[in-house]
Amino acid sequence: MRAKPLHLLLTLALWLVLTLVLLSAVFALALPLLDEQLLTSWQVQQAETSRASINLTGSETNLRLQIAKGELLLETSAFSLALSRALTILLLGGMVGAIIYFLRQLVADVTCGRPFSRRSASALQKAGYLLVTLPVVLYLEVFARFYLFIPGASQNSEFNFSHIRLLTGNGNDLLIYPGFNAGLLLAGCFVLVMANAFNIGAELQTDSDEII
Amino acid sequence: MAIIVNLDVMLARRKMKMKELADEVGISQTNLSLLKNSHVRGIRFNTLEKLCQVLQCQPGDLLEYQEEKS
Repeated sequence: MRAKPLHLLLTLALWLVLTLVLLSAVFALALPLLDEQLLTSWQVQQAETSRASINLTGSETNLRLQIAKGELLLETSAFSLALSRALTILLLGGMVGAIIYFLRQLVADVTCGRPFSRRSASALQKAGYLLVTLPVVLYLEVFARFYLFIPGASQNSEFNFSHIRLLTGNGNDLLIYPGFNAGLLLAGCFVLVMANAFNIGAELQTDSDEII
Repeated sequence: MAIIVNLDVMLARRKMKMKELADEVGISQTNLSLLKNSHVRGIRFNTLEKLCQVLQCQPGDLLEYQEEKS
């Protein structure tokens, strides 16, 4: 594929991501104002396949917690969840947008016929760091969301670095394992290695430019 | 830099202008000016060869080593 159409595609993708992120954030904030319930879920293990309610201490009236098909579902109209969701959307969307922006910068340099520059190496490095950070943020977000929104979470659960054990009180404890996207981490590491190669390329390009 | 480019001296001796030399050697005036003012990291052998050919001189007439004062 030539660099120019790819640059155009990345520009379109960037605009699309920014528009979707802003719309989703506004939508998330608007739902509780329109008296709509917000849903959030966690993947659980050892959960019953049928729908079953669980009782946790400190349950609030505007909040419903249930287990369905291996998922712990939280239904609430609390504005704090909407705010948290909007912030998460802005953070993750912003990171994805930034990755696309930096890759677009690299493609722009390729289009100009000078890919080996300090600017493209730096753009690749930033994209690589963001790609490495993204799965970590996604992993930690599951824990943060759990402790922020499950009522009495600190009393009713045991925190382990790989998972949370939710003590339901009826002996059927639930294990919440946040998913970790190793593919993104690997892609980030690969992009960081590419950034190093581009740094060497930029040095060689400078040498070549300064030799008459 | 310890290596001095005496291009201006050779140009004066041959009564040549920068533009003429640039055209005959086949490099831009900008690059020739950078070379004249020693603002380059190096010079390719084929560029040096062309310069010597056009200016009818030896590489030693164009390049000179001067010890840097520390």
